[in-house]
Amino acid sequence: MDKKLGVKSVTKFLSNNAIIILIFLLAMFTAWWTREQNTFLTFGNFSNLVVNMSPRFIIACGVSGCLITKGTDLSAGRQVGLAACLAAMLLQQMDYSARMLTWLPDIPWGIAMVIVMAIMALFGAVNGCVVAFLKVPPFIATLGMQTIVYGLCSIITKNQPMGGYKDTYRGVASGRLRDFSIGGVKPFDPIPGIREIPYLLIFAVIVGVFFWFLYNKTRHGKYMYAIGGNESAAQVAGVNVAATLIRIYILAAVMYGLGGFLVGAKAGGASTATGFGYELEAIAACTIGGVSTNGGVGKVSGILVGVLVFEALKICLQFLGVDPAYTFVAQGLVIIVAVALDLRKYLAKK
Amino acid sequence: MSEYRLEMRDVVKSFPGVKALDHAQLKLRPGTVHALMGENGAGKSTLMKCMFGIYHMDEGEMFYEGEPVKVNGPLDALNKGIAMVHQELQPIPERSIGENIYVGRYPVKRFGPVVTIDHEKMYEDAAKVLEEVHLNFDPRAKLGTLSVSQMQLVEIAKAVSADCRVLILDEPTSSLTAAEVEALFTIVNELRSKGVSIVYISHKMDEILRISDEVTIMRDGQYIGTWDAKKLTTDFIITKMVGRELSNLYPQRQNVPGEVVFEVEDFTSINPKSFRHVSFNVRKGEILGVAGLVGAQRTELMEGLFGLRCHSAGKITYKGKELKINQPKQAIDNGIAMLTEDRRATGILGVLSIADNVSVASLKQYLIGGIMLDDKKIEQLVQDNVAKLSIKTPSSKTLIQSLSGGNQQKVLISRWLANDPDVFILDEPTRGIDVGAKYEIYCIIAELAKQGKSVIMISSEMGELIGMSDRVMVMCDGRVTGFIDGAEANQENIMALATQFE
Amino acid sequence: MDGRQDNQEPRLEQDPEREGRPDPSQLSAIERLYEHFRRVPLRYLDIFIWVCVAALVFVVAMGVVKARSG
Repeated sequence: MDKKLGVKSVTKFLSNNAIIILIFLLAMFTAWWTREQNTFLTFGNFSNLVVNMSPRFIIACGVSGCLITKGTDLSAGRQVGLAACLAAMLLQQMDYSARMLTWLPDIPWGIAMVIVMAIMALFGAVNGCVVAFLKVPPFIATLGMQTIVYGLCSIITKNQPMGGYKDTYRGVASGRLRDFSIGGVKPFDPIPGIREIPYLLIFAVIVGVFFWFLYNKTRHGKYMYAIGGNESAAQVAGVNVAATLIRIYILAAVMYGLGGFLVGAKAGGASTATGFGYELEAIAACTIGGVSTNGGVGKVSGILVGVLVFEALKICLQFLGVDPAYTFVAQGLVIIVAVALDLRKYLAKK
Repeated sequence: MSEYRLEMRDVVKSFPGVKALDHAQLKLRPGTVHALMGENGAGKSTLMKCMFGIYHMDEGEMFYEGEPVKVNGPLDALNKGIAMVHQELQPIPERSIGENIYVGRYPVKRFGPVVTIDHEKMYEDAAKVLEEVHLNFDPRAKLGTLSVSQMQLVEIAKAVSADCRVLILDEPTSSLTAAEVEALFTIVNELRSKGVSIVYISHKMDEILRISDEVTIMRDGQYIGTWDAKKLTTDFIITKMVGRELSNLYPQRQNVPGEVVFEVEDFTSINPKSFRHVSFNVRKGEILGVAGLVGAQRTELMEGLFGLRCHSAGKITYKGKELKINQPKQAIDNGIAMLTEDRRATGILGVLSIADNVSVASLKQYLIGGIMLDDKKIEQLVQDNVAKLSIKTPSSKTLIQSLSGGNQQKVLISRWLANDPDVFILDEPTRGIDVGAKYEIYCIIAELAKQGKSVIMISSEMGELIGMSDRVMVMCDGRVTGFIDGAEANQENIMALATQFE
Repeated sequence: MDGRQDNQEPRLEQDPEREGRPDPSQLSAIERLYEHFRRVPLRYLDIFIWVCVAALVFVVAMGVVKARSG
């Protein structure tokens, strides 16, 4: 009997964490395959992973609220794109020849970031209201928003790609704690190890902690899980479902704003193509990380794992020299497997 | 040749957890109207669904015109000449009346290998059928243009059109006006004179006594007897329908009802078919049982009071203050709690822990600094309730869906207790719970009343109503038909009021 | 009203096969999609998953081989 239990629990572990195991194996393989160059298992590579992962993590956190309440947000990617473009417009160099908003004074990147997040919040509010009050299924509502946002982005950028960023903006993505200065002093410069922490990671950590707190220690979080677990029961229990849903979609949009802001900084440019398809990866990452379509379930730690898995996949394939086209196919397969496993869990339960 | 057109003998049918038919039987003579009566759950619809082929019998035999027969499904039944008009309509409103009548058996035209629907013939036949039942609807009109009662008449036309020898009518007059009931009776009489055997399921005593030749009564899935309709009285029927022994597993109650605290006046739903002009009051420390047949709109009434449904008129007064309740949250803030009928659908948050389920309606009370939840206080709340209500669970983090029904119900009660409400509405509080847990819940309810809370308890179990209520309010078809004092309540007078249709 | 009621037995005595199914109006879009697969035996789903995993390994292998030779 003990032996049987052992086999059963091993299979369960395997199926619950199948993708994580697969990618782990891939990483091991990559390390072995590139052992001569010895560039895979380096700090630099790890740092690269962290930097790539951070904006994706922030976006995935945003989407997670929608998923936990049995909804979805297909407008995430385009919102990221719009946010990147808005940030670009606000933070171009004063003397840039193709500067878009010539009347705009020089703004600090912090202010621009807040402005972008505030603007995106409006889109989130619209999504939330349509879902909560008009009772449109989130799939349809956010699909519509996706197209609207893309259209708006085209309009305001006049379909021109944007560049010429201020150095301080670009520095947000490339900077590390050692560059951080207050009043001329760089407090982190002398501290070894800590000084290497990229700004992007700090953003991700702050967002992660915020979401962990929100989901576990606030009423909003409990209401969110309640709605996801059983919306009718939540309503009977007195939860204000509409208010909670609207908050969720607004928060999601604010995260897309932040994510877009950082993506733009990292890329050094933005266009209407920025962010395309990001929602697919974010949703897949959440699914891999345990945010199930069953609703009412999902942890920040899981989201982190899911995003890591995806980024690890990309980096491994890059190191293996695989053609980007093949990488796309591989990513698609991972998404399919993630959804299939989720489907399996759903059917097996009921 | 048997004297019976159709016979069903020793039919047994079980579903998970319940034996719906326990050696039931029925014998139908040609050219008669045979009424089938019993409480809901007695097995009437189940037996008919076996006859019509929707269910397969676990045991038992069916004989048609003296020959043993097996019905494999509704289409097979129709081919054999058995038609059924269901209680729940399944109309296709976007399609025409003719299409609805012939759905699944459209007349067809063949052009070589290509088969198309013969619309002309279909509408011709439909017109004839509608004429036969004295309905002058245009068969090409969309079904959705008709009222619900008219749709029901079309359903009946559909069954009649199948040229059947046996016709089953399951609660056919539930949506009909008085004039339409007369029309139906005309059709039934015509069919009877043509030699059709008609099974008539209904709760409406006066209709039964008017139209039927024979009456079969069922109780708890069992066959009680068949009698000549002319010799029956309403009282006799009721006695036979309910005459079971009641167990005495109810706790001694020590509550003393005080003054009236909760009053409802002329409460009417926006849906004219639902509850209307409901007035009642509940006293402090009183248990008011609410009885009625399925369809009496008891749940709908309570949901209306709790803010889950809209009402068009009516006043709720609590401790002298008038309440405006349009949302559950408002009801909760005013001290009303509701344990819903289907805890799986609207009660438990299945994938969440017991701690989450207990605390979700009262989180405001456990805040540090106004924002952060105090997990320690919540844990304390859970432990207090686990002890007080004897909830059996390995830990507070266990998912509520892994608990037994009785324990789940206790968790839900804890959820409401956390807000210290004064009015507790319980809708079928012991449904789906084993006997031992039922007793524990009764004790909890009794304790609530003892503490001075007002308890409104909807129940479909006679024993429960009689054993636990201080007073019983009986509803029928959306209206309150009467109140019975707890001491005088018995199965007969409750059932009499419950079947008092207008 | 009845003497014995069970949460399994539906009030209007619906077809019991449909009893266990959640009401379609309660489900989200994705769950409605998932419900379409209810009839598919789990075995087929497992096979599908294994096939996709194999495809994934294959694609990665192909990519590596192509990188090697190219």
